[in-house]
Amino acid sequence: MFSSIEEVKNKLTQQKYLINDRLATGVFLAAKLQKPLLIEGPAGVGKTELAKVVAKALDTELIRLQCYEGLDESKSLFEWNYQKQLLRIQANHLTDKTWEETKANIFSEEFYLPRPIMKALQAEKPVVLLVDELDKSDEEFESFLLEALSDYQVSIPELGTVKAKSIPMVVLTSNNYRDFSDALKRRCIHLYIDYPSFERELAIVRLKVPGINEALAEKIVRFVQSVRKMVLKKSPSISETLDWARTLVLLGVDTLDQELVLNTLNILLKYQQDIKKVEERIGGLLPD
Amino acid sequence: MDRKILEFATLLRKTGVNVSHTEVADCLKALALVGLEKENFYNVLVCTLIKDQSYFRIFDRLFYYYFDPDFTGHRSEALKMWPNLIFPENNGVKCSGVDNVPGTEQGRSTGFGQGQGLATAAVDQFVQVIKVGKPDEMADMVKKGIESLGRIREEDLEDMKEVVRQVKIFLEWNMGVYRLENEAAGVEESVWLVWKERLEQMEDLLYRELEKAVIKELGQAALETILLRENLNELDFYRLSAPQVNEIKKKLSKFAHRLATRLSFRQKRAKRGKIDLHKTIRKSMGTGGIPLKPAFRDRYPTRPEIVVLCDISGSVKVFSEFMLQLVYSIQNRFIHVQSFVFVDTPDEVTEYFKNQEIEDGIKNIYNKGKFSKTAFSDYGQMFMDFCDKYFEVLNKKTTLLVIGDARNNYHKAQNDYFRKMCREVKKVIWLNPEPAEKWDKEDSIMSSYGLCCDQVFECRNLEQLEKVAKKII
Repeated sequence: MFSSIEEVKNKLTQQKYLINDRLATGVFLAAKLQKPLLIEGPAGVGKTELAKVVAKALDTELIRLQCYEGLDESKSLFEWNYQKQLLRIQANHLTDKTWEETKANIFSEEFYLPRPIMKALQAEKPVVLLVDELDKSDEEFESFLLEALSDYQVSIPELGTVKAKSIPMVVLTSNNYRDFSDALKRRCIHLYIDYPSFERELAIVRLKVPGINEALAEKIVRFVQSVRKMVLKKSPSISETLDWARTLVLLGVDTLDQELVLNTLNILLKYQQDIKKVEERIGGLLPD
Repeated sequence: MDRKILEFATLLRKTGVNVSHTEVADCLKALALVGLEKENFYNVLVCTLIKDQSYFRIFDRLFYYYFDPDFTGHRSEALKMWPNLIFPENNGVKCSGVDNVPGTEQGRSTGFGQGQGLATAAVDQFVQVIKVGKPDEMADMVKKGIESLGRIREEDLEDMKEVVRQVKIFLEWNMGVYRLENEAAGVEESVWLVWKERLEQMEDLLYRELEKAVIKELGQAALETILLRENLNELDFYRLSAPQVNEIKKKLSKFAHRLATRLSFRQKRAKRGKIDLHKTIRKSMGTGGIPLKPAFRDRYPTRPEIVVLCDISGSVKVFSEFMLQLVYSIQNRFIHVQSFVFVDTPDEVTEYFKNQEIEDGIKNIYNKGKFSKTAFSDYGQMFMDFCDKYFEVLNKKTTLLVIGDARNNYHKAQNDYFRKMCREVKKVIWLNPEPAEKWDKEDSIMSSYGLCCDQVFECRNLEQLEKVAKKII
C-alpha cells in the first residue's frame, strides 16, 4: 500500500498517469482509511484509467464489474451453478445416496460461481475492485452494494455471512447520469476529475503519444482547450484529444491547418450539432 | 482543531450540504493521517466532506471565508493553529455556464455620478484588465471597486444585488462588457471565449470579495445569513444570482431524469390487475397446458396531455423558465405538451422546443414571441385572448398548468373567461412562485382565480418545486 501522498504521485507517474494533488490525496486516503473511492466527472477524463493504474502501481489484480441497467446479484456477487447441480442430482440418483446427503452436497463451494464482488472479497491478497459506471445500474443494486462496501462482507442465505479475506481497494466511477443515495455517498471518499488545464493536458499528450512533434502537440491542446470553452453537447475530453493526436501523428502532419482539422473533427466531437458549431467558427479557433 | 472542523461542518449543513457524522469522523481521521499543511488540508476536506460537485462552489467560498485569518474571531486562533496554511484562491471549480455574460441584462448603464473625466478612464481600465487577464490585476480592480463603497453597512447585507450593482457602476462594468462584446466581432473566437471566461471569474471574485468584506465588518451572524442564501433548495427563486440559476438548471435536469425513471420502475414492478390471456396460455404450454400461474398485462401509464401557460413578465420569469425546462425534459411522459407564454397576451411557443435544445428554445421565445403589448402583466386580458385564439387546444383530457403570481396590475380579473377554460379541461393546477403570505396583497388576486382551480401550490424554491412536480406527474 501507499505510505504517503508523494508516493502515490510517484508510483502513478511511473505508470504514465499524471495525477494532481487533489486526486493523489483522494487515492491515498481511500487506501489508508479503507474506504471506497467514488470518482465522478465527464466521460473520457481518465476515471477508469485511474483504477487501472492504481492496480498496476500496487502490483495487484484488477477485478472489474461493468454496471448496466438490470445488473443484479447473480451477475455481480455469485451464482449457483445450476446445471452442475442438476447433473449431480441426476448422478446421485443412480447411486444409493439419500436425498439428505445430496442436499448437503449441492450447496457446497464446488457448485458456486463467484462473480466480481465475491472474487474481490475472497482474494488472498488485496485487489482493486473497479465498479465501472455505477450510475448506469439500478437503484436496488446500489443499496445492495452498501453492505459489501461498508463492512466488506456479504450475506448469502445459504452460506451465511461471508467476510472478506483481504480488504480490497474499491473504486466506483460515475458519469453523473443520475445521483446516488446519500447512504452510498457518505461511505465513500469523493473525487471529481475535471477537464485538465492547458499545461497538464500538454504533458499528458506528450507522455501518451510518443513521437509527437512539440509544436503540433501544443497546437492540438490549444485548439482543444478553446473548443472546450464553447457551449457544446459533449465537450472533447482527454481521451478524444489523445485519439486525435494519435491520428494526426499517423497522418504524418506536423502543423494544423483548416482543411485538416475539418476532415478529422469527427474524432474530437461526437455530435453533429457540435461539429457544425465548431466548423462555423473554425477560423477563429485555430491557433496560429 | 476538532471543534473547528465540527463547526465548519455545522455551517456547511446550514447551506444545504448534507454532512453526516461519519463524514466528519472520516475527515478527522484523514487529517490525522495527512497533516495540516497547505493544500493537503483543503484537499482532505473536499474529499471527505463534499460528495457532490454541485456543492464545490459553496464549499470553496465557505472555506475561503471561514479559514481566512482576517475573519473576526478566528484570526488569532487560526493563525496559532495553522501558521503556514496557505489559502487557496481560485482553486476550486470554474463556473461552467457560459451562455449569459454577467451584467449584460442590465444593458448599458453608465457611471454617472463618478465625474466625467474619471468615467472614461475606468472603462478603459476595465477592458484592459479583462484583456490581459492577470489574476492579481483582476483582484486589485475588484478591491478598488469594493473600497469605493466606503464602510459596509448593515443594510448592505440585506440587498447584496444592489451593492453589486453599485460596485459595477463604479467600475463601469457593464460599459466594459458592452465594449468587449462589440470588439468580439473583430477578434478571433478563441480570444473572445477567454474574455468571457475572465468576465465570469471577475464576477465570481467580486461576489466573493464583497461577501468577505461584509463578513469582516459584521461578523459571524453575517456569515450565516450569506450561507443561508446559498442554500439552493430553500432559496426563493427571485433571489437567485446568475451562477445559481445555472446550478439549479443542472439540478433540474437530474431531477427530471429521476422523475422519469422512478415512474418506469414502478410500472415495471406493479404488474397485477388485468390478466393477459395470450401470455397465460403461452406460459401454460410449459406445464402441459395447465395454467399454473396467470400472466398479467403490462401496464402502460396514462400519459396526460398538458397545456402550460407561463407568465414571463419580470417578476416570475426565472421560475417560468425552470418549469418549461422541467416539463420539456420529461416530455416523453406526456402525449404532448403545448406551451404558451404571456405577459398580457398568450402566444404559443410549442414549436420552439421541437428538436432543439431547451436553452435555445427559451432564447427563441424572447426573440420571436409576441406575448406582450404593454409590458405589464394582465391576466384578465390574457384569458380573454386565450379563449379567443386557442380555445380549441383545451379538452377533457388536458391538464392545464398555469404558472404566475396572479398580479394583475389592477386590471379586470375576467373570471368568467378563466372559469370557462377551467370547465373545459380535466384539471387545472396553478403554481405561484410567491410566498403564500403575499397572495391577495396589493394587486395579487390569487384567491379569485384560485377558486376555479383544482389545486394551487406555492412554489417558491427548489424543494417545493420538486414536491409539486412529484405530485403532478
